[in-house]
This record gives sequence, C-alpha cells and structure tokens, in this order.
Amino acid sequence: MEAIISTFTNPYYLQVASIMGVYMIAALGLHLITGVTGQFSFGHAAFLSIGAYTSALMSLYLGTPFILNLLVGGLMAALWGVLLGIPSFKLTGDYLGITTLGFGEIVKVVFINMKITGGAGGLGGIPRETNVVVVYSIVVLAIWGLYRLQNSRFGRALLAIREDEIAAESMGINPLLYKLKGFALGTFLAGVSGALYAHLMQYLNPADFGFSRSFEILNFVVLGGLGSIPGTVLGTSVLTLAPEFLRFVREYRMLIYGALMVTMMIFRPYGLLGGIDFGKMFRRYRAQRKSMKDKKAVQG
Amino acid sequence: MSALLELKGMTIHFGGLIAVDNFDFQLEKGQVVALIGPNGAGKSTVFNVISGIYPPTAGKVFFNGEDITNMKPYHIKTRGIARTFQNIHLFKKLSVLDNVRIGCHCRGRTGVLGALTRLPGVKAEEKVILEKSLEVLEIVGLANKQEETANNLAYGEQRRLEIARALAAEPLLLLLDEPAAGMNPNEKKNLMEMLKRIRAMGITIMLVEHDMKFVMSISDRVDVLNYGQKIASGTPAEVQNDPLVITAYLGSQTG
Amino acid sequence: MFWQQLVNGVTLGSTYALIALGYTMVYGIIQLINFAHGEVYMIGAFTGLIMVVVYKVNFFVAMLAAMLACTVVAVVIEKVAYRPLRNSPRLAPLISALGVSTFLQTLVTLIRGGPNPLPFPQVIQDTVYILGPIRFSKVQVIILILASLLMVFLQCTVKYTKIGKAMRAASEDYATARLMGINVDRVVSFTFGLGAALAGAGGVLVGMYFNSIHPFMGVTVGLKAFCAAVVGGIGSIPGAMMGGIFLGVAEVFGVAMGFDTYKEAIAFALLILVLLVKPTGLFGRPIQRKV
Repeated sequence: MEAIISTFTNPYYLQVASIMGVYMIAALGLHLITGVTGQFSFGHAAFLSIGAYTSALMSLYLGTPFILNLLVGGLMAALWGVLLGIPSFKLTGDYLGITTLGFGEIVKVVFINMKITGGAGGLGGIPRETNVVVVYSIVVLAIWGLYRLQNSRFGRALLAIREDEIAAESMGINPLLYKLKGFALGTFLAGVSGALYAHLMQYLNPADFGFSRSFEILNFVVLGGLGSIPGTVLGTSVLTLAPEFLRFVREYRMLIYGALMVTMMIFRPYGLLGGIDFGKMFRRYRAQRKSMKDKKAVQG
Repeated sequence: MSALLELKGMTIHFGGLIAVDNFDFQLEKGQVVALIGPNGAGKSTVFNVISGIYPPTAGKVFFNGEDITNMKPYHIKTRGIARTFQNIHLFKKLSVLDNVRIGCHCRGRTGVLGALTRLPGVKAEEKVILEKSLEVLEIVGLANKQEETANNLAYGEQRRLEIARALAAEPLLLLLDEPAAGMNPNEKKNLMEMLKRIRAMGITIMLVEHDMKFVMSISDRVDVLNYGQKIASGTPAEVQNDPLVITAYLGSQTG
Repeated sequence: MFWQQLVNGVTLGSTYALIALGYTMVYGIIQLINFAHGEVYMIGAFTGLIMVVVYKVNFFVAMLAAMLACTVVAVVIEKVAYRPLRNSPRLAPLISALGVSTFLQTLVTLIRGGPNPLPFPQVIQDTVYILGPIRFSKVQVIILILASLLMVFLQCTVKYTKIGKAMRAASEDYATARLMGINVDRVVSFTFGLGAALAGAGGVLVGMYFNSIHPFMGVTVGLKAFCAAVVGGIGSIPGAMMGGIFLGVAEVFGVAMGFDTYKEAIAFALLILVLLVKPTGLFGRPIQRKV
C-alpha cells in the first residue's frame, strides 16, 4: 500500500505522468485533424511551440493568470492554423501535409532568430503552473468535447470529408470550411498542450519543436488506432512510457523503437485499436441485453 | 409553367475532347426523364455539371428559375438537387445510419458550439435528422441494417443506400447515375417499385441507365446522347424506333 | 560576385536535385513520401568515406560503391517496410518510413560510435580554375559534371529502356499498368534502387564538398530535397532537377544577401510561396478531379 502511494507522490513519476497528459492533448488535436478529418499534418509541433512561447511570454512579461495564458496560447496556435489552412485547403490532395512540414521548419527558425524568445539558447525561468491535476482535467475536458463533436452534425461532416470528399461536397458540405474548422480546433488543442508544456518544463528551446517532435505526435495517433479516441490515448501512453521501459537497452533504444514502428505497421496497419468501434460494441451490448430482458419478460 | 431544370447550350471540353456539345435539355416538375447513350457519350459528365463538380466550358444551367451555372456542389445541393454516383461513393467506413444522416446535412444547422453544448434545439434537430434517416432507410428497405458498416453491404444494397442518402435531404430533383447497374433482375424489379414510390412523393427524377427495359418502363421521356450530342428525344416508344438511335447503338449496316 | 554565387548555388542545387529525383520517382508511382530517402543518402556518404579511408580506393570507385550500397539498402527497405503495406491506409507506409529513418540513424550512430560529425578526407586536390570573374574549385567542377552525367543517364533510362517505359506506365496509372502485364513490383524495386543510387552519389559528393558527414545529415537535406521535388512538381523528373537547382541557388543567394540565420527556412518558405502561386509546382501537370 505504502509503495503505491509513494509511486503516486514520487515527483519523477508525477512528471512523467504530466508529460504524458500534455502529449495526449496534442495528440487529441492531431486526432481531430488526421484521424477524423483525414488531413495530413506534419508540423504539429510548430503549433505546440506557438502556444508554448505565447503563453510563456505572457507569464514572464505580462504576469497574466495562467488560465488566460493557456487560452491565448491555444487561440494563437489556432490563428496560425487558419492562416496556413486557407491556402492549403484550397488545393486538394496532400498539400496540407507539405505546407505544414514547411511551416514547422520555418517556425523553428523564426523562434531561433527572435530576441524575445531567447533564440537558440532557449527561454528559461517560466513559472511552474502546470501540475498533474490541471493536465488531466484538460485531458478529460478535451476527450469529452471531442466525443460530443464527433457525434454531431459537425463531426459527421468531418468524417464524411475523410471518407469521400466528392460525395461529402455533393451532400451539401463545404469541404474548405469544415477542414478549416477542424484544423483550427486541432491546432487550438496543440497550442494549449504547448502552453502546459511551457509551464511544466519551465524552459523552452526551439530545437525541441522540430520535425521529429511532429512525427512523434503523429506516431501516437497512428499507432494507437487512427480515428479512435481510446486509440489516441493508448498510443500516447504506450509510446511515452516505452522509452522509460526501454532504458535498460540504453543506446539500442531508438533502434528498437524504429524497428517496432515498422513491425507494428506491417502487422496492425490500422493501429493497436484500429477497426474497433467501442460505440458500436456498446450499442450491440445494449441491444442484446434488451432482447434478453424481453425474452425473460415473455417467459415470466 | 417554366421547367424545373433547364440546360441551355451546355458544352464541356476536356483538353481537346468535346465531351458534351451544345446540349439543350428541359425537365418539368414531376417527370421521370432518362438520359441514354452508348458508353462515353457524355451522360455522366452532364450529371457532373448539373451537380457542380465540373464547370461547363459554355452554356447555362437553370434550376427552379435560378442560374446555378458554376455554383459549388454544396450550394447546388441546398437548392434541392441530390445525386447518386455511377461508381458508388459511399462513406465506406461509417455506418449505414451515419451515411444517411450526413445526407441530411443541409437540413441542419448545428456547428461546433451546438455540438459541445447540446442545447435543447440541437437535440431536437438531431431527433428530426434521426427520424428522417429512418424514414428513408425504410423506403429503400435498409432499416434493419442501420448499424452495419456501409462497406459490408452487398452491391445492390450499396446502390440503394446511395439513393437513401440522396433522399434524406428531401430534394426536389434526384439525379440517379446508373442506379440498376450490377443488379440482378429481382433487385431491378424492386428498384423500379422504389422509384415509383419516390416519384409518388413528388420528387422529379433524372436518370442515366443502360438497361433499356428498365428505362423504357419507367420514363416519361428519353433523351439520347451520342458523342456528346443529342440525337433524339421523345417518349420511350418514339426513341426505340428512331433510326439514328438504332445506328448509334448497333452501328450502321452499311458501314 | 553574382556569377560566383550562381555557380555555388547551382553546385549545391545539383546535389539537392540528385536526392529530389528519388522522392519524385517514388511518389510518381506509389504516392509515398519516402521519408527514409534522406537516410539512404546519409548511408551513401558513409559508404564513400569507408571506401576511401579503409580501402583506400580512388574517389570514383568509392562513389560507385556508395551507389551500389544505397541501391541494395533501398531495395531491401522497400521489400521489408513498404511492400507489405501497399494496400494499407496511406499513413501506414509513412509511419513505417519514419521507423526506418530512426532505425538507420541509430544504427549508423552505433557503428560510428556517436552522433558527432566525421571529417571527409580530401580526396580531390583543391585546384582552382578561374574563368573570368568566377572561381571554380575542382570539387565543384566534378560535382557539376557528375551530377549532369547522372541526370542524363537517368533521363535516357526512363525514356529509352524497357524498364523505363514500364516506370512511366506505372506512374501514369498503376492499376492499368499491372493489368497490362507489367510486373509492377519489379518496377517499384527498380525505381527505389535507381533513386537510391542517385542519392548515394549525392551523399559522396556532398561529403566531399562540405568535408563533413554525420548520422543525422539526411534529415534536413532530405526534407529540403523533398521541397525541391514539390517545387518542381512532384512526379516530374525534370521538375525535380530544376526544383533542386532553384532551391540551391535561392539558398546561396539568401545567405549572400544577409539572411544567413534564416538559411534553413529558405527552402521551406519558397515551397509555400510556389504552392500558393502554382499548386502543381513548376513542372507539374494539372490535376483533373476524378468522379
């Protein structure tokens, strides 16, 4: 018992759990963009960094309340998401993937060159406001919101675009508008995640938000099961914890990680939970129980 | 009375190819009109222009007296034109019910905030959408398959789901692109009954179809396209005996 | 000054072009962004280094060996990591490609004993030729000549050989090419191998030009070369060549004009600008929507 409590209060584990939650929020944002709307985004980390720097600078220079900084960080990321999304979505195909890839590298270089962000040396001294409770409250809020969105007219329109854009358009859905809204919401979550990250690590460096970070988040979303919220949560958990567990293999860690990614895709191309629809399982279970009850009623 | 749908001098070029050439067409409310012609005659292209997927090279499209030329597909849909596709375009990985609900899209208004708050108005709208969806699934005989994934349906069922999805928006005009393709005689018979019911609901139908028996028994009028040009128009009986049409389909005997 | 920078830019750009060709050919046929291509280029550079330092071979032999090694690596990657995923959702091969990247970077880091750069020995005497206002180093001349020769060789392969014709057919319409009896698996293998050979040559040339190679050198250069392929019009072979040279020249002029701290962003900024003006890239074909 004591061991369990100390596990939960051990600052190291708390830190790992917080980071995991922060990434979950970012991954849920990408889930909406890639998993639900079907649009490739290879620069998600750039939106994290926009949220992170915006909120950190507000904390440092304006001293505004944390919750406001989180919100503004998210909104700033969403604003850039919209600015990048408008030209990208006017073209059909993989263009968002390509422009976000470019955008990610540009944002990194801009932050390295800016004075106020501390340049390549990084930005330190950010107050520690994020804790495990804040992080997981936002995770729960995000999951609840995404669940409601996905099961609404709005969410169905996004799914329709993912499945077949031409058919979606013929159903009265304006693809440009809906992709843009989905992208804005997804980048908003990325911005919030970045803001939490800034106030957890207390130090930001542009190099932490490069191409490889973007792909790490994409990995979370795809490996768990593309298009599934439980999959995204599972993927993020497994992949943020895997390096911790792979510590014993030391320098072979990334070698194994890379090989695992390839193997996973070959044996489960839809991800760990791909193709499993919990909603449908639940509805079937309910229908089954109802028919059992009816039977009993008849017999009785 | 003015026509429900009117095409004036519609011309479509793809690069150097003239897919449709100066095509005039009229459709009165309540009619069932078929567009027939050999493969590659430009029939589906006409559909794609009416529904806004391709812009015409020249010519105009009027619907209900309004010029809808060059409008986007999603705007045209809200005017009351719904369609099905020749090579099925269902939302494959979604359930049958969700496919039809998406068909109801332009009848709802819920956006992001509505979805998050689920205020009474939003709930009421969802209820209307659900009722309408179940109603059209009943019409096409798929009510017992609403939880099935669209991809798992049999071919004929997928075609019927496409029709249900189009009907969900309560269109004024239904464009059916080869609805009977790949169906067996029994399924075709059922489809014909279904179309008659749809027509009785007051929906105007324009269809492209290869099965002549099917076309002749359901249409009020038949227009024939060949190499992008209209070569005949009239009642099924008139068109069937038109020498030009027979030549187009069977080739001329002299050469 | 202007002409000198132009020569420097074209030299740099022709190495981007060599790598961009691999991206564009693979994308043209199977619509995959082969993110492991940058690592193939890195392996080319290391193979070249090993050949020169350990086996003391002549520079050209080292380059041929690097090309051969890259071909083998790329064909194996395609067989193991991409082919089983041909009918999977489109993101699966992308994730697999990133897995391969991570794997190869770590593998080379382990073999090399750390991530730090290694100097590339000076294999070519540093003679300088002067032509009017322009100074060519011998290395530059070799890069320009070899890169042009390789590109001419590629064009001839694609235009005049049977397998080249099969490649063009597969890139026009993969499914139809298969129905016409073309062994598309072999075409895809060949395409990966051909692109990798060019990237391997690029790796040795760049190592020689900048005198330094390291296990992560493929990441940035790979991304830039991919930009070049898109700028030129993805799927188009002349497009990749011109796109590479265009980006190389732009980068050199950007630095010369004082944007040196923004050097790494120039290619990406141009990418977005070009896509805004001409979405299909400089040489790409317009896309017709298929219903």
